[in-house]
Amino acid sequence: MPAYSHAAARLRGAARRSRPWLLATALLLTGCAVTYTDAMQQVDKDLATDQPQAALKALDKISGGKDQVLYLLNKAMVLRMTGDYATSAQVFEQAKPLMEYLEATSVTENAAAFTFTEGLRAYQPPLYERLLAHVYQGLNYLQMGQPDSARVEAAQIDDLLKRLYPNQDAAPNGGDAFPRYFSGLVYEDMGEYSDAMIAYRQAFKSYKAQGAGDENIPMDLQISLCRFSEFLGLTDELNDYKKRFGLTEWPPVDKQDAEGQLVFVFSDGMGPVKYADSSVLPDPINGRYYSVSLPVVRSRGRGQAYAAISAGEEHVTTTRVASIYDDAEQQSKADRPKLIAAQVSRDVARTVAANAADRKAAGLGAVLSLVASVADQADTRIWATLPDDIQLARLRLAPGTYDLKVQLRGRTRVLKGVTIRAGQMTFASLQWTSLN
Amino acid sequence: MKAPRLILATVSMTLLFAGCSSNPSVQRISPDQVTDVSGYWNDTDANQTSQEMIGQMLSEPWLGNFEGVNGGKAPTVIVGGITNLSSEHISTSTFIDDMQRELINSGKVQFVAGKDQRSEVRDERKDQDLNAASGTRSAMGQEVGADFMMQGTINAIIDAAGDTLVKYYQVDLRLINMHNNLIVWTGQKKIKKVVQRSGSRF
Repeated sequence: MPAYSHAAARLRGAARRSRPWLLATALLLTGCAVTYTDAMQQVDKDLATDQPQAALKALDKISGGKDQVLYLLNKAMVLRMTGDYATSAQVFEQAKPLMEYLEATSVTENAAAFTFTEGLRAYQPPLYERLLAHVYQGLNYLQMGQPDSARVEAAQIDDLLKRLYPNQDAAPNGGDAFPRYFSGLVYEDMGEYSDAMIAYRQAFKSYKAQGAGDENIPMDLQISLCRFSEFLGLTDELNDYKKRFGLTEWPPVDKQDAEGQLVFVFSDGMGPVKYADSSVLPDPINGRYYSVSLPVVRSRGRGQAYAAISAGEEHVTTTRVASIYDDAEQQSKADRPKLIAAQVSRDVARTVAANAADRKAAGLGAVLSLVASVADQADTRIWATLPDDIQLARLRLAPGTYDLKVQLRGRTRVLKGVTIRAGQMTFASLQWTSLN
Repeated sequence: MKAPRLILATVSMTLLFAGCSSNPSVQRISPDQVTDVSGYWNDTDANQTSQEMIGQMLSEPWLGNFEGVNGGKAPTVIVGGITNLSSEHISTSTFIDDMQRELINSGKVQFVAGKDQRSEVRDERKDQDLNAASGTRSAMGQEVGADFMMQGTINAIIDAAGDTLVKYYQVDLRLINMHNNLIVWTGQKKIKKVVQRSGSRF
């Protein structure tokens, strides 16, 4: 028999034996339905053209399965964009127990991730996403006029951090700065000024832990720290803040205030995405292939710009209180060592499998090694409907109903009929995802 | 070829368990049966709270004192705010409604409608003024004023270490005399649970 016939026979045999492998690989590559990344591309397009209802339909294609938490978080966020805060709140509530359940380590998912690819794990939202879920849920309740329920969200932020970081009571690298700040606003709204002061103080510490100088602490937080340390008689602390921030006056804390306060939370743009930085490298000596595929965070920010807010004769510019890109980047850096360890584990598993395959049919090992290495892609899932950054502004206004004008990058949006009541805080929000 | 088989089995199991849906199983049980699933506040907690509060409310001296100075008249109560200070979204209406039902049925306490219910009834009364036959109209200004307002708080303390969680709930209710702001009764129910979470899942 000529040499090429032997080779062809060997290849046919290898192909026959590799059928289960090819089937498994095909399953891996195609999944059960539309992938998260596919669906999110359509969601991005719909949101960029201001069509959140269409984005909701696109999202429904990924309902169920290992991306269920992501589906719920994205859905809740898009529902907020449609102004349906009640349904958004219901969806966030569905996501919460699932996030808690996924904290437990899965035996099968770990085995699959250490053998094949990271994407086989159910998506477990990182800490910053879990904290922001509580923040946006709190905003839902505030905008529905349910401050008690928003208070529950603030308490859940505290519980989560205490449970996950019992010794620090804070997220690593100041990751809880804005969630703490938001909690302070909620407690202030409830008239619980001691709790508000504690939360503002924690927010200040966390911004400092992020590396912010005193001048980079959000102005509204600077004022709040002075207001409440004065109100609560914390003289030494007040003097420290006055010195740090150079502030000499601020509005008094007064439940009988004749004016009301508008707190405007502005979510700018679309949050960061991840792409896979991959390479498949052949080993010329043993013919095996090794893959390196790690997720890299990419910002979708459109350049830093602050929103100008007008209500009646009053004007204010927002200040940045959170950068989602920075949060995602921090998380990505923290995850990298364990992702590299899992990658090494997968390369070893593939080599062992390829060696075993080669003992059955020479050449099959190289095929398996190549196919499995190509299929091993970094996990690029991320809660992508979060904004690029979060900005905040507070305005003191006379009681009445206002049309709130928001200007950014030369474009204007108007939020109609925002009611301000004497002595009360009113919360309004907007996420600007479109390019118009 | 043991290694590839093992890997194939892992993939198949993962796809089976993680990727595909299954039909839920439903079993009907008695509403009185204790069903602790997650450790969060549930129907059993609400039920235990209402039973305890009803017992305390009917057995303590405020009731006899009121009846004594009012010729045996049953006191009228309005439900005010029950503030949730816990870190769980707790529906207070479940145990408050249970309490109302039991107390009204006991004949010893009567309740007037709360703020939201009143406003709907008043709207209807206004409508009757315009549209109902004169003999069937309910006149304005005939409402019964409450003698007491019931207020309360739900508080929770959570202590966690590793996979163990201790949850302590305290529900406090009080009755305030509408005429002079005297607190005539306070009731309390404490619930403590130890929740053991699994650190791993399939």
